[in-house]
Amino acid sequence: MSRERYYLFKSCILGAYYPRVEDSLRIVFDRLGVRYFDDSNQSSCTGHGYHSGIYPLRSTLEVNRRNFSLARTAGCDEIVTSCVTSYATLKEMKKFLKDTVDIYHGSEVIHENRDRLSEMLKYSLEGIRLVTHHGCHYTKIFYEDVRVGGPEDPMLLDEIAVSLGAEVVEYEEKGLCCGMGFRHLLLDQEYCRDIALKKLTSIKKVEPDLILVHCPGCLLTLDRFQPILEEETGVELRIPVIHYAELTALLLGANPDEIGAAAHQTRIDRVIERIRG
Amino acid sequence: MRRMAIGQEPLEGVFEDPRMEGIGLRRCLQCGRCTGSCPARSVFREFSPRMIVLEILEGRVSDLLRGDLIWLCGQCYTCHLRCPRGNSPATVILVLRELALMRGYARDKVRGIAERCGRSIWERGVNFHEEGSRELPDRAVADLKEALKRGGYDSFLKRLGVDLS
Repeated sequence: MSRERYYLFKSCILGAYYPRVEDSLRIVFDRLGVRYFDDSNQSSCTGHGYHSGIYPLRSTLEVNRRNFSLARTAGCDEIVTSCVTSYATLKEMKKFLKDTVDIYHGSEVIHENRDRLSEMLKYSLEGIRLVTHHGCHYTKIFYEDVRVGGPEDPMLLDEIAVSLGAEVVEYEEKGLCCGMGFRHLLLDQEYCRDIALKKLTSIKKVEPDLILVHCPGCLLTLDRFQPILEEETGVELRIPVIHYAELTALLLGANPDEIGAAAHQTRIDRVIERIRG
Repeated sequence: MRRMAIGQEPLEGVFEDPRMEGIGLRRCLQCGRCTGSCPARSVFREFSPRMIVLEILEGRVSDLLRGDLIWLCGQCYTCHLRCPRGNSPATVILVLRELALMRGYARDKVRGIAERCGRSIWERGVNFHEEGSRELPDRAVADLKEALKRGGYDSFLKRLGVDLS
C-alpha cells in the first residue's frame, strides 16, 4: 500500500470522552511520516446512532456521501478511521454508494509500520504482560478483511504489542464483545454490565498489566465500567485499559498528559510509571 | 416444528431493504449457532436471534415490529460472522428496527437516544459532545444539515417525537 495522504476520520466517542487519543494518533503518524489530512468539516459517520436504530439507512448514506466527498475534495482516496464502528459503517456505506474510496483502521497502519516503529521507541514494553481485545465491528462485520490472524482469533493488536516488546497473554473470552451494545450503553446498561463483567472476569484470571484495545467504544466500556462493576459486585478488577495510539505515543516519548492518561478511570498511571522507569 | 412460510411475499417489507441483498435469511437451517453465540442471549433469556429469524420466515413480522425483542440485540455481529448459511440476524434486526420506527412502533425504545445523539449531530455534527469537545464549524454544520435533510433525517426524528426545527 503506497499512500499519498490519508483522510483522517475522527471518532465522536474519542472526541467527547478521550480527546487525547486522536492527538496520540497524530503524534505517532507524524513520527512515522504517515501523511494525513485532518479535516474539521468531517462529521460523525453516525455509526453509533445507526446501530442504535436512530438513523435510517437513507440518512446514514447521505451523511457519508458528504464525508466521502470531503475526502475526495482533499485529494484523498484512502480514509483511515480511529474508530472500528466508523471503519465498518464507512465500508458498508461505500458498498451502497458504489464509491471506490478505500477504508482502513488506524491500528492497521500502525501494524504495517510496526518494524520501523519498534526502532524508534524511547521506551519498551519489556516485562509488561498484556491482553488484547479487538472491536467486534473490526473483526465480525467485514470479517474477510481481518488482516492478521482471523476473525475468530484476531492478531493485529497482538503483533503490534509484540513488536513493542510486550508479552501477550491469551484469555478465554478474547472473542467476546466488550459489552458496549450501542443503544444499551445509552439506556439501561444491563447488557453492558453483564457482558463487561464476563469479559473482565475472564481477563482478570490471567492477571495482565494492561488491556490493549483499538476501539473507542471498547475503551469507554472496559475502562469506565470497572469502578461501577467493582462497586456493584464487590469483585476487584482494577485492570488498566489503554488504546494502541496512546500506548505507541507514550513509547515514542509522549508524556502522560499528552496522551490524556487522566481521562481514564482505570489506573494507567502506575503502568506508565513502570514503562517510563 | 411449525411449517415455514418461505417464499411467501411480501414479508412486511423486510426484503425490500437494500441491506438484505445477499443475506441468506431464507437459507436459515434453524441450527441455532447464532443464539448459541449471542452475548445478548446470555443477558436476556427471552432473546434469540434464531427465533427472530423463524418469526420472519413464518410471516409474523408485524409481531416483531410491535414487540420488544428486536431492541435487545447488542449489534456485535457474532451471529453474522458465524452463520453457516450466510444469514445475518444482526443486519436483519437493524432492518426490522427501521421498519418498526417507520411504522410508528417502538418510539420509546430510542427517543432518549434520538433526543441526545440526533440533536447533537444536527446542531454540532457529532453524535457525542461534551463541553469543549470537537464539533464542526458553523458552515459545515449547515452543509451537513442539507445532507441530513436529503436523507430524510429531520422528518424521521419528528416521527420519534424529536423536533429539530
